[in-house]
Order: sequence, then structure tokens, then C-alpha cells
Amino acid sequence: MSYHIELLQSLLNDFLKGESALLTLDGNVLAVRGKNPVTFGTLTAAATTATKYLKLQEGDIVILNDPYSGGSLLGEVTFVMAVSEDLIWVTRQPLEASVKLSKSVEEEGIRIPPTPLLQNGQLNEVIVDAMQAHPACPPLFKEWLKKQCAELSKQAQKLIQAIELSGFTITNELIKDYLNLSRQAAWQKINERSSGETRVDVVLDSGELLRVTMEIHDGKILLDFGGTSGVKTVALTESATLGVCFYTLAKFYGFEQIANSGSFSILQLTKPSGCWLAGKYPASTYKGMTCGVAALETALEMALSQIHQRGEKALSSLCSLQFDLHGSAKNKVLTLPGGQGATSSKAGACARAPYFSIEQLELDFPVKVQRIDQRQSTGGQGKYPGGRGLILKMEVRDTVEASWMTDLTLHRPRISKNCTHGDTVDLSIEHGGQTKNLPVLGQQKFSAGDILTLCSGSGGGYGKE
Amino acid sequence: MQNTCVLGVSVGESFAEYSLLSNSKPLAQKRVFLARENLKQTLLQFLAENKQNTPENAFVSLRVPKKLLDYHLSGAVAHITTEGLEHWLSLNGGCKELTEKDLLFSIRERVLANGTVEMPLDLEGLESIAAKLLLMDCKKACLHFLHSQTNSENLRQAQELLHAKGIETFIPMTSDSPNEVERWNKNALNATITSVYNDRKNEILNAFEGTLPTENIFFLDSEGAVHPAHQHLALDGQFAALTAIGKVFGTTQKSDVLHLSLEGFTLISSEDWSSRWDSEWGPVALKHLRHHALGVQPTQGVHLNIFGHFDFISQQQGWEPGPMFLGRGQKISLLDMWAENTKLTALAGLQDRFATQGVQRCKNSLLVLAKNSRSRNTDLGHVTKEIQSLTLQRLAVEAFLHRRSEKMQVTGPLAPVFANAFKKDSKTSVHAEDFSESMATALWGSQALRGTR
Repeated sequence: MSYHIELLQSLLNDFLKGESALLTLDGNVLAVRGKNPVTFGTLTAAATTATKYLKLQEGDIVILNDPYSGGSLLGEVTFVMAVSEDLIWVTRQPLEASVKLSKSVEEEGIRIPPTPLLQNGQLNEVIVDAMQAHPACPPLFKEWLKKQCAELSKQAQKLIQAIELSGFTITNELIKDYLNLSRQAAWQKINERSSGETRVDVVLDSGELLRVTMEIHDGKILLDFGGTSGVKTVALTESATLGVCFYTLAKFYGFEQIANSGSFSILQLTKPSGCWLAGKYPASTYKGMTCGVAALETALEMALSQIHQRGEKALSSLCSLQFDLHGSAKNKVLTLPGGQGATSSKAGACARAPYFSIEQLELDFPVKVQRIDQRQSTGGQGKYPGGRGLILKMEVRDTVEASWMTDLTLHRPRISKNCTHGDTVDLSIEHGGQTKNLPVLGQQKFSAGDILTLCSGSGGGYGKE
Repeated sequence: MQNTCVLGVSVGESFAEYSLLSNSKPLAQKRVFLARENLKQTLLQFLAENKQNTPENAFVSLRVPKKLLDYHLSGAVAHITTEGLEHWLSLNGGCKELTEKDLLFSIRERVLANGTVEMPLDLEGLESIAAKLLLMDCKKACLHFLHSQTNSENLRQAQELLHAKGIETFIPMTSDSPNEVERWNKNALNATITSVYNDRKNEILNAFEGTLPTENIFFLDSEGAVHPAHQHLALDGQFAALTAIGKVFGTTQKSDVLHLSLEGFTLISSEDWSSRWDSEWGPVALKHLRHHALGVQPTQGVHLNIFGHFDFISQQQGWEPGPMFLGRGQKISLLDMWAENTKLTALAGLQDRFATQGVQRCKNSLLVLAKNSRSRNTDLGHVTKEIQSLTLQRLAVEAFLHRRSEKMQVTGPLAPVFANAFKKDSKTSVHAEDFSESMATALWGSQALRGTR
């Protein structure tokens, strides 16, 4: 029945929430879902690593957060579960959020390699207690893990029952057909548009060069990162790099809803060993997973824009400004996204504020928000202006510590003559009438009377005014 | 024992239902298609036809159509916000704006988190805003002052000044939510729809004139509470019908309720509450029984997906103009696949509205799609059966995956049409009751009223 493909697709859509993936034990990726680009490479890497080293029985759960084993940030925990004897479910849950300025991944927090959590229905208490005892482990981690395990087991059982209830079986043939159709659909989407080749360079503020040669030909995309420099302060894992590449391309062509082994096959990557896109332990990956991802997305969007001149788009400000306020018992990360680049037919979308309560922020921290709004842009001008970034102005009422991070403020990549650059991220502090710019990343204490102005970047403009 | 009659009136986006019950058993029921019939007239007629059974009380669940939550149709309201935060709601909002940009004003005032008034209200500035509003012929304003829950001094002053100028003010309810974005969004939407809601409410109250005194008419809110007719509800009534359904059909059975109405397929939890509605305007503080709109919906369009197979478009087309079988719609919808199903054609409110031309046009459109599909199978009988099977299996699977209770009750006028989807699920019962929304409104309303007395 041809509709069994649609039934499988809707089952995957209904079951997979947040950052999650479903794979077969023999390595076929049935679906990946998520909003974070790295998800599209790291979840499958996590499943592969976990199943390679640990024999999973039905119902068993493995956890990890190690980026070199398929994790992302250490504050996010990945769960790999054997849903049945041939299905693996991978899901990622946020545990804590904070900006990490560190030289090695070990300094970012507790690093968990693939570790059996639930075996034969029993929680591995010894291992969990050992983790909880780690100085970097967040409080109530054990309780949180227990809750996650219970929820995962419940959902997994529901999936199996739902499949039985529907009366249709996920056969190997159905999977093969689905993946083939996905591959063909992705191929068609790419083939419908221009072919070509281009090279793009993006330089991060810390000096790392990202060089990508993109070749689109006969429905396939080849990305060669030869010429990309080694790690200085930014490192991204191989699986994260793959994920970002796939996500950016799939979104551009419109096949992100069929992210599976079939559609993955249209992409081929070449990376020199030692480059920052294939970082190695113990390099710190926090900056890579945030700023590095933004740089990679920027480079790919530029390349796509150059090849598909009809769909040319000015540069978006993809590197958010992350500002982490530290209280005595809690912290709060404010992520200010940037504006989008304009296209040949419309202005760029302005940045949206992160969802939080100003009242709660002022209750939890000694700050007073003076203003939060779209920033006035001097850059990004054009017939179609770039999307405006955000401005957050806060008065510090009492001593408070903060750390922050952003990137892509110093080096402007070469862009087409139709486009203009948007504003870069801007941070400043005003005290006693004196204003001083803050660096792109840092950590310091702020005192009462300090006024912080945080501005995210704005998108580039398009066309002559 | 004296027979007690109660009347349930449920007004949705495109349909209204009336159920006259005696000792919980239906005496008379009616469904009205609001695109073609008048609410007040049909209610008057219903009451006249059943005048021998005058209800003791009437309970109403009134939902403002989503399109009227849009300020473009209902009228824009001014927003006066603490200086520096005048765009806070639109920065956090959804895809739709709450009001016109020209009606966003900032005012110098500031209360700190601890309740201290750091800056008193700028009365001169507010006078100037009031003058502008009157010039713009805008007589309604929302007041969004930070920390006004902790200290409402500035807020009260602002209200007094604006009232004196003849401007109606709307302030967020303190109990609504600790998050000001949710409280302010709710306040803004309430302000937008207040006139529309009152017009609708008055239509209903006018229909009861001479039959039932106003003090015997109650409106349900999304939390399941009953309110006298004179009390202002507006957005609070948005999910009243769903809450009533969840309570009546779900709570006693300790099961979730899958409500298959003509307007939407919704899975309602009977015990779990949500304090927030994630609307198209942003997050809104609105407590209601937690519910989930299924991925399959009655007026979803049918198209060819990325694989060239028949599938459903994610957005609903609604009932204006509605499915093609009504004769006016231009796009195939899910319900069109059941246009020749006798259970659907006999449905109250829809029977006698099926247009042969519309059904034929739908078949022609389906044939065009079939010719362009991957399989190029132009056997329309087979295509229709496949789409029906997909629908039934998706309903079964999604409802199972998302329900929180082990058991499930299926209600709504379309329950009998889609009953086959659940025949394999031993923990699911299908109710044949056609008018479950208005029945639940009446039954839950009576129970809630007894609880308050």
C-alpha cells in the first residue's frame, strides 16, 4: 500500500519530539528531528558509538554527553535506547545551560562517555551515584535521570503498542522503499535548481579560517573543507559538522522533513585531518558548538547564494550573543539572536527575543532592564534592508558576575556587490558617564551602577536604495 | 421527582449546538451552520419549538472565532507600556501582531522587583497619550506596567486618568501568570475581542428574553467554572467546551477524550491542566484542560507530498467556504473523502447541504491529482479508500501516542464516521452521541453550579 510510507512518516513525526532520532540496529537512520543543526549528525553518531561498544537489549538505555562520542554541549544529555530488538531511539534532553569559557572539554563540566544507565529494567545505581558525586555534576542529577528513564520507557512502550495497534508492520522492504523515496526526493529538489561550484572563506574572531568549496552537480553536493585551519580556540566534532552541513542544505532545498539515511546520501564531505571542523579530544567544543556552527552555517549560506544567484540572499547574523548571568544559586543565559539577511525581493526578518520573563529576571538577579527592543541599524542598508538585531540594556543594581560569548565580529567575508553587511554584535558597559566596549567573550564582575548594553547583529541588506 | 430541564448552548467557530436535557437525557437537539444561519434566530426558534419544556438554567460555552482575535477585524486597541518595553510583546510574539504599530505607546513609570516605585507615573506624558488616542478615535487601551502585580499604584493612577478621559482600560489579571508576557498577551487579546464577544453574548441573551431570566443563564470558562451572564469573560471562554467535554466524558471514566468535531479533532486530558495557550499571537495565560490538536484534521487539504503520494496539508481550511461537497469549496479536504458516507451525509446541520455538483467537482480534482501522482493510479475508488485508510490509521496511532490515560473515550459528531479507526483498541469506547459539546456544556455547567451553591 503506497500510503504506508505516509503512515510511517506520520508515526515518526508523532513520536519524535525535540531533538531525537530513530534508527534501525543495522544502522539505517529512519528520521532525525530537531531545531539544533548539530542534531542531524550527532544523534546518529551517539547511536553508532553506543551500540558499537555496548550490547543493548530491548529496554536498555545508555547515556552520554561527551561530544566526541556523539554528544553536543555537556549541558545536554543524550539517551540511546533500544526500543525493540531492531529499533534504536536517540533523544537529547537539556540539563543545564551556561556559557563555558574553557580550554579543554574536561573544564566544561562532567563529561560522560557512553554509559549503561538502565539494564534489564534496573537503574545502574552505582554508576549514577558516582556521577552525582562528581564536583561538576549538577544537583539532583540522579533524580532527573530516574525521571527521564521512566518517561523514555513509557514512551518506548507506547511506540511499540501504537505500531501493533495500527496493524501495519515496519518491514525491511518498507524501510528500503522509504529511504529510496527520500533519496530520490532530495535528489530531485537539488536537481531542480542550479548546479555549479564556488569557494567561500569565513574567518572567526580567534583567527580560525573556515574554507569550503561547494560543488553541486547531478543532484549531489560535495563539500571540501581543504584549506580550513587547525584548532586555536574553536573546535567542532566531525559528527556535528556533518549535522550542520546537512541541516543547512536540507533547509535551503526544502527536504529537512525527510532527514534520514536516504536524504543523507546526497551529501559528501571532505575534511583535512587536524582542521577545527574535526576536533579531537581534549579540545574544548563549547565555542565550536555555538560560534563554530554559526560560522559554518554562514559559509554554506554564502556558497549557496553564490551558486543560486536567483535566490541570492544577504548574510544573516547567525552567531547569537549569549550572556550568562550568575546568581548565588542559579544562573540565566540570555541568548540574543541576530537578524536575517534580505533577499532580492524582501527585507530580512528581524530578530525575535528569547522567551523569558523580565519580572522574573529582576527578581532573581540584581538587574533592572531599561530597554529591550530591536536595535537601530546603521548597517544592512539597501533596497531591502537587513533584519534588525536586538538591543538589551540593563542596569546592574548590585554586584553580579556574568560570562558571555559571541563571534564573527572582526572579519567580514567578501560578499556580492548586490549586498551590504549588517551590524556586528556589540557589547558595551557604561559607568560614571564613561562607555567602554567589551570583548567578544569574557567573564567579569559588574558593580552597582554599571549599565550594560548588549546588541545582537543585524542582517545584511540587498539592492541599491 | 420533578423533571429538571437544562439547556446547553455551545457556540464554536462555524457551528453552534443546542441541547435541551431533562434529567441528563436529551429532549431536543439542534446543530446550526453559522455560515448560513443566524445564531439568535435559530436559538429563538429552538426555544419556541420546545416551549413546553422551559429549561430551569441555560449554560453557554462561547468561543470567539480565531479570525476575530485578529485586530484587523475586531478593531485595534492601544497598548501603553512601561518605557523601554513597548515592543516586548511583539518581540516575543507569534506570527500575528496584537495591534497596529501606531498604537504602541511607552510611558515613563517604573516599579522595581521589590515593589518600590522608582519612578512615579508621568501624568503629563499620559495626558498627551490620551489626547492622541482621542484624536485617533481609539477609546480602548491596555496598560502593561512592569511589576504592577507587586505594586499597582502607578497602574491605578493611569486607569483613573484614562477613565476620566473616557478611555476604557484593560489591565492584566494578577492571578493569571507569573510571566508578564503571558499576562499581557491575554490582556491584549481580551481587549481586542471584548466588543465582538459581547455582541455574540448579547445575541444569545436576547434570544432568551421572555423565556429565561438572565440570572438563570451562565457562561462557562476554560477552567470549567460557571459565571453569571453579566460577568465579563471574553478569552476565558475560549476552551470552555473542550474542558466541559473532558470533565463530562473523561473524568468519571478516568480516561482521555478524543473529540472528533466538525471543526477539529482534539485529544483532551481529563485530569491534566495547562496554564498557557501557545497561540498565534504568542504565549497566553489561559488555564484549560490540557489538549492536543491531532495532525489529522477534518478540513485539512489533500495534496501530493514530496514523494508524489497523496497526503494532507498541515493547515486546516475551515468551513468558509468549507469542503467541496458543500458546493462552494475549491480545494479537496479530508472530509470530502467521506462525502458519500451515509453517516456523514445524515449528520445534523449538514444533511441537505450536500451538493452533487460539489461532490463531482471534488472527484474531478482528485482525478487531476491522481494523474500527477507517482503511481498515476486513476482508479478513484481505490485512491479514496487509501486516503481513508491513511486517515483512520493516523487517527488511531496519534491518539494512542499522545494520550496520557490508559483509556480513551471518542466523542463528537464524527465519532461514528471514524469509529473503525479504534476497533482494535480495547481500551477505547466510541460514543454515538451526536451533540456532545452542547450536552457536556449543560451537564458540566449544572455540576459546576451545584458546586458553587
